[in-house]
Amino acid sequence: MRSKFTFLSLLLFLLIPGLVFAGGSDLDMPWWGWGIILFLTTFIIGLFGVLAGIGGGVLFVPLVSSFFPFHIDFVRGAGLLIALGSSLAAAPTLLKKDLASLKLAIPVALIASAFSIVGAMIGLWLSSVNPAFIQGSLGVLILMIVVIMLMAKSSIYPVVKEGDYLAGLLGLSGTYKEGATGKEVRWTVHRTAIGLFCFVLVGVLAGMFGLGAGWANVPILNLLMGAPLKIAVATSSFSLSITDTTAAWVYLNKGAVLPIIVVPSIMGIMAGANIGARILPRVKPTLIRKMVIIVLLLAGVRSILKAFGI
Amino acid sequence: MMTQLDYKNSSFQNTYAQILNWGSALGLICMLITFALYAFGILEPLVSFEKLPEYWSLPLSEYLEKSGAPAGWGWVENLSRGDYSNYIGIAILTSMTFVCYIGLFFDQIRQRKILITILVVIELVLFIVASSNLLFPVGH
Repeated sequence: MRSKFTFLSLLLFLLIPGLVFAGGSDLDMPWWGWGIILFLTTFIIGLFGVLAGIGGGVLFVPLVSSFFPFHIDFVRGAGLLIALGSSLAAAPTLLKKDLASLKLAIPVALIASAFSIVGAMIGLWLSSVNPAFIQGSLGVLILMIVVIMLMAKSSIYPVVKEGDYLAGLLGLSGTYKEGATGKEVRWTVHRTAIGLFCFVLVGVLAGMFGLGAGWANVPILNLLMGAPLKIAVATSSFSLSITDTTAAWVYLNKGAVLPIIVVPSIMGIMAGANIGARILPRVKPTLIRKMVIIVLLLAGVRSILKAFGI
Repeated sequence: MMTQLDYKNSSFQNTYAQILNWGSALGLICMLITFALYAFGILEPLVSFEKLPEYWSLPLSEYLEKSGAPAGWGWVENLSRGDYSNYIGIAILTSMTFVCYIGLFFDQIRQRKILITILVVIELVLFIVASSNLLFPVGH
């Protein structure tokens, strides 16, 4: 049953971008046809994003910019709004369950959002010089994300003997209840200065490419700063609602937000994520994760080829 | 050394969650309604559906020039148009964090947490800078 599901899912996951790719961007289709395909594609991205434990934005930008006729400027604007929409949908529950920490998110998101404005401006400027620069760099970044996804490990409860001075000053600590055992877990962080510094780069990349940055946030919060895995994942998801807000306004002000791309995509990704969360217990996350890595790899290579006009 | 008190989560966390919950639901509902009005042609769009596939593959500057679409806060003047009516829901979604941070600011002031209050104020300034279009003005 599981293998059948996985096979069918893989087929479906590759089918829609495959069809679009085969047709090319010159495909003579009415506007609503693209809207429907976009909704279906983002539905699948949302579904697989949840099953693979990554945000939908990181899949959306490379896939849609590579396989759809939309210019990358509009795809990046939509990507930010998708990441924002997904984060806003998940954040209330994560905050109420004390898994996302407001105290930890305040300094992390401040640094990332300041630099996401810088990233958004660099991205729009680079794209105005030559869109191939941004398409090619996106391809390289996606391949780097694939490497990070293959190599990165996680630690459920990292050992942090004592929070450092900066963590104490900013109050970066908290408590949450483990769902399975009901045990109360106290946490704090260390290596705060270097950890916060890493969010400079995260912010620039998020703004520049319109990607949600969960793939970078979680390893920094968990492996470097020592936050428990659940806190790292949930706080990363929540902090995107703050970081992406500033970058999204830059795209909005520049006129790079097309409702025909944004609205079907947000609706599709949220519907997919909702179904994904329901079937999560019945599928093997490792297999799904491998499939997503393969799709990202293809999208990364396709982005680089597109940058060279191939 | 951390004390027992230090491990408490932010007292504002639940209020923040509630504001986000209502705000994002409102934003999504607005987005659904305005998109239906747009897609079914009930509200006339600024950029016609026939022209849209010609424009969406153009770089941003060229798109703005050829389509006559507004940049900056120009979308506010076009809210009665089908395409730009969708910006109501989008603007609600992109403003929710700002609303939450205003509440957070007063909460931190009340608790006399000066350092966190400063961080919150800087974030609010960033939101205003990003949304104001003052730092990187777009002419149209």
